[in-house]
Amino acid sequence: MTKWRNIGVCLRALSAGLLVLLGAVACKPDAMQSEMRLRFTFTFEGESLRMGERTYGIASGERIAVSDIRYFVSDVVLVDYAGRRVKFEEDDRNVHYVSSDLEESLTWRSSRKLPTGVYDYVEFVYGLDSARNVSHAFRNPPESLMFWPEVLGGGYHYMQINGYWGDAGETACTRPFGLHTGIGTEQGEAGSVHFSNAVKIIDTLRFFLVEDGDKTLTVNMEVAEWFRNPHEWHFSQYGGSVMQNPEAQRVLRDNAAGVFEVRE
Amino acid sequence: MGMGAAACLVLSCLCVSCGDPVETSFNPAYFDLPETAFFPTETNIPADNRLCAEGVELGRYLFYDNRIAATSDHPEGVSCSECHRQAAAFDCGADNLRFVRGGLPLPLQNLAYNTRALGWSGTAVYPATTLEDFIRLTLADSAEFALPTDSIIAHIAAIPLYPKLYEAAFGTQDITLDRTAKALAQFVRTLTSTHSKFDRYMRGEERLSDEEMQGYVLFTTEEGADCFHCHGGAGNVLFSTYMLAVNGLDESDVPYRIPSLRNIAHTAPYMHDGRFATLEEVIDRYSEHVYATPHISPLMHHADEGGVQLTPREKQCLKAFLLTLSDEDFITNPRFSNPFTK
Ligand code: HEC
Ligand code: HEC
Repeated sequence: MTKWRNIGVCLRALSAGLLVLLGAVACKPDAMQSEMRLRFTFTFEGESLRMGERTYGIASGERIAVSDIRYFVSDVVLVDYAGRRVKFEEDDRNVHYVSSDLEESLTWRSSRKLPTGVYDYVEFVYGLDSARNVSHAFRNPPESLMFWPEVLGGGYHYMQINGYWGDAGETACTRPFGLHTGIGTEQGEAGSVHFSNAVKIIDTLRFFLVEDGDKTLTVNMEVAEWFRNPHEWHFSQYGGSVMQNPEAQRVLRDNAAGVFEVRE
Repeated sequence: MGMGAAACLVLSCLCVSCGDPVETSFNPAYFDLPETAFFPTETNIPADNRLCAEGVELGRYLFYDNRIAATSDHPEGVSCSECHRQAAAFDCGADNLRFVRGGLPLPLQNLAYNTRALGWSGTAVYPATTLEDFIRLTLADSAEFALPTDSIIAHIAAIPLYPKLYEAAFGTQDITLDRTAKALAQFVRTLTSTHSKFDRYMRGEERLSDEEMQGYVLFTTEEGADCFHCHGGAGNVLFSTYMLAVNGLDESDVPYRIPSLRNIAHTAPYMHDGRFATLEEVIDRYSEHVYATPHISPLMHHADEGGVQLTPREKQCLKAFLLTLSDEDFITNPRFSNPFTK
């Protein structure tokens, strides 16, 4: 009996202690936090991409000149060594429009402070997943200008790479192209069928968020990868416009996996 | 709230006025543009020139008043409405061509939502210099108003109507260039076109005919007419991105600001220099006569094929769709009309 009573007392003392401990953690005015931002860059074969005049050879041997690149990044999540998932932004703000023409869009600063710790992965969606990709979600430019036509399933372009291409032997790139990705459309027996092409990107990168820190990670798009891995891209086959070409949309979806890299 | 904070609040209330700050009991009737389904929620209205009923009324009188720029050479005077006529969606109209340095006017519609670039050549990229600035430059432009701005201001001050209207709008009777541009900008921002057949279709109030619907699909598909990347659609009901682009319909290779296609039936002739008289001609050009000039916009995806290659039937549908962008309410709205002839 006494033994049981003692255990009872012990338990009570223990739980009181636990409560105090928990309280201390919960009431601490600020759990350790850090600011964080993402920077967006573009490379071609590892070198900073020069938009405008400069032309580049792609895997097929064809050449391209890139005028501008615009795309959506969404649902960014940092995953720590214990598997804990920390959203970069609250759900309703966890989407960002990147445009090579808009300097201010090339940095995305989280409006939250993020818990300090050791992180192992960064996850994000290139484009917009089905839940986000609804027409009129963006009312204002520049995001609204990315709308994807209703007849092709609505929502928004995930990405536009605009530029010019030329055959292997040509020195100048004169034929306009738009590598525009979004919901795919296929003609089925019962009319058109739409499919999502958004891709979840997971990049392993060990980094630390330290107290009162201001961490910058870089999300780089290696443009050459759109054209080679796993599928080789041929402008001579797909032409300059691909929104209504389900095969081209699938090729770009598959190739997206190797395009992005998150770096410190 | 402490006394200090309260006093601050009262003071700051006094200082917020329509136009510039004055410390009187001046209390104009502020309003915001009504929110319209599918339209942007952001406008280019600056904090120091909020819309108020009195400012808009003053702007409307000024817009239509030729006396502000009458001279002995031109006793009939000039006003904004000479080149911006309501019946032509505030473009000049085909029967009233008004070239300024080789360019035609632009229609004045939904300008409150244009946060990118004003004028055919774009005065700036995102964000645009203000509408107020643009109007000040217009008043100072000898190709548009052939007298210096201080004479314009003197003319306005000499017309008995105005001192009271300026007082109602700005709190005192001072007549300045700054206030004049602000009032005109207020009126121009109220010129919103939101009632075209296409708007009503978007709101579920009306159906498009089969022909119009086919035209709409062509307009918004790359393998159709491929117009939407520059000229909008369901996600951009302003029908322009307001970006600068070379569309390749002539060999000049000079970029112009993409014009809105709203009320396009009322704004002939077409392009900055009015080189095409009809929509049929414009459509033929985009279909078969695109020049792949060195700086053609990459969004002209079919330039290397000479255009989007539409069949006669497709051209007809595309035109039918463009006609759904006409807004008869806009061009007959009595609130936008000449206040001197009411
Ligand atoms: C002599 C003819 C003329 C008169 C008078 C005139 N305008 Fe214009 N307006 C033009 C022309 C031409 C353009 C195109 C200018 C350009 O491309 O830069 C234009 C363009 C504009 C624009 C830019 C529209 C856009 O979509 O970018 C605004 C705003 C405007 N005018 C307002 C006014 C106001 C307000 C007045 C009266 C103070 C006025 N205009 C008087 C000829 C005129
Ligand atoms: C690359 C962007 C682009 C595309 C795509 C495009 N346009 Fe244009 N559009 C322009 C520009 C820029 C102008 C003004 C050019 C000028 O003034 O010389 C213009 C002018 C026009 C005008 C005359 C407007 C006015 O007020 O004078 C019409 C009508 C027009 N476009 C219809 C179309 C149609 C129909 C299509 C599809 C077949 C289309 N456009 C595709 C950029 C584009």
